[in-house]
Amino acid sequence: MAENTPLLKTCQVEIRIDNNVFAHALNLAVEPGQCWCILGRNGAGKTTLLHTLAGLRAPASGQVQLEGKPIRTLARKTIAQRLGVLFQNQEDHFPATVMETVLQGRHPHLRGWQWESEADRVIASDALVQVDLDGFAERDVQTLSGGERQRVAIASLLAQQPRLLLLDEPTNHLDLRHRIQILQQLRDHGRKNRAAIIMVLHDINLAARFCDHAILMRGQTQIQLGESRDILRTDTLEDTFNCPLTAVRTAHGPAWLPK
Amino acid sequence: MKPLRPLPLFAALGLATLAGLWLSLDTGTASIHLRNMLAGSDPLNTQILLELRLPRTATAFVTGALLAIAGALMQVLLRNPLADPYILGVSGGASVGALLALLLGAGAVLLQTSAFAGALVSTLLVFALARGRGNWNTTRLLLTGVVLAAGWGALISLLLAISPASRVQGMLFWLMGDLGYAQLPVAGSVILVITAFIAIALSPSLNLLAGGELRAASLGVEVDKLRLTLYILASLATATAVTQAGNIGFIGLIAPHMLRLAGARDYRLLIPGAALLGGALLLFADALSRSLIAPQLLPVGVLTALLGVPMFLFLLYHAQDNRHG
Repeated sequence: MAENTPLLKTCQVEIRIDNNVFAHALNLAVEPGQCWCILGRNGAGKTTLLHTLAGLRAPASGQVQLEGKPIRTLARKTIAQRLGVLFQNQEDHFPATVMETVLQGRHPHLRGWQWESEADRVIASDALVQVDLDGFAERDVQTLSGGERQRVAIASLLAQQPRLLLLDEPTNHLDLRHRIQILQQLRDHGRKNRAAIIMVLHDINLAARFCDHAILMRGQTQIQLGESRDILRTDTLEDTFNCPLTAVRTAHGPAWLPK
Repeated sequence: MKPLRPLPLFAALGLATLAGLWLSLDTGTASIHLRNMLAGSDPLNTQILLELRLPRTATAFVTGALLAIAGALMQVLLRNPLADPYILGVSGGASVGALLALLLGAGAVLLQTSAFAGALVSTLLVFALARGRGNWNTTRLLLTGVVLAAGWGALISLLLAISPASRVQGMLFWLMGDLGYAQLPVAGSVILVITAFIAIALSPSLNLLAGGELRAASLGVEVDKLRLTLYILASLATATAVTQAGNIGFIGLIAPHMLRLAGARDYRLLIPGAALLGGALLLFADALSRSLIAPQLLPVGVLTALLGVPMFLFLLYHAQDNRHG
């Protein structure tokens, strides 16, 4: 991979479901170490955009490139070694322990029928420590609270060790302390490993605090993107959410409250 | 909730299978015992063993194993713990085929051919209808299969209603599962080996698919290909089992769950474990069905439920205690 190839790039991507167009001629380049947030109204297509970037759904036109290669031409396993996704909801119809669930993140790195090695278990245990769930390894995921379940899913993503992390509302169900802790951990993880992060968030203040880049989705293909300090402003946010805001100065930069 | 160690699990299941094999070969209307027969002897006894009991015993094991694997695959394909091998109507199609053959007074070979043809028709029909215009999601597949199964059910009732009384007894036996037509299951064994081999090879992906299609795809599974393979594999296994022994209920549903409750949640253990457990369960059920009110036979499907229900409830009851372990 050439030194200056972005980790993820979209060329003239159009996203549509039936006759609803969510993005038109979208050009995005995500570099290693960057942390992006996707903010926007309900139904503006944030999750659809995230799934398109992950190669889980094809754009109506245009191309998504992972490390310079069209993502549609890559095997799912190759993609999974580089790109990991946290979904909005977790399915657990069948019982599984926390450790078993986190170890699933190691799957892209195993060959064929290989069992997880001791090294994989160490990676999974470390991931559990990072999300504050050490000691939960043998618990059944079906007995966990929503916030704990969410942290298991984040641990599984960390154990996958992708260079690109796509997260759909990672702070869902998390209490105040864990919201800050998890976002801090993700940002530090990204900086330390030269990984890039793209996450859908609903809290504009957390987004402004942790993300250096932002994508604002107003719906009907109106998308703004760029550095957070340029585009996360009172007027653009009011416009995006159709809600009057008051700006407040804090030690962590600007914050906004609904009027 | 500790994961299970494979060695004790397979030692126990292996022993159960051996005990089932012995019991099944040892039981029958003629009071011939395996010990005496092995000691050598009467050619008539040897003939009974080789031509009657061995085919029946082998068929019982192969059928039970196929049903248990098919059940585990259907449960993960539909991501529904209530799924069993018959849920998508494969057995309904086979039953209509079999009942038609019985109505016409056909022998074992024609009966099996007709049942297999019915299963095949049902499988293709569900696939074509669920696929529609290229998009077959789980709900659509499940609904198509369940509705088609209900349609087959109506046809079965119709066939029973219009059949002469002399034939209905045999038909009911077949519908409840009947190993009486058993022949040495050569094709069945080959299909069991192939199905088990592919299912075990796919088991790491099955672990992921159980957690949702999108998540599995994001972890490197080619989901569309996997689902198609699972559908074909489960249908083939079910069709083979039903063709050999009629509608034997319950094993496909409970064998995978019993293993999950015992701690074998990983499909790499669950698939081979379910095959052994399903085979062993059917061996015991069949031996009991021949000996409980001998010389009269009971439908083996009744015995699988009578054996399976208490075992399943016992495990379920005890699993509650250590969920938080």
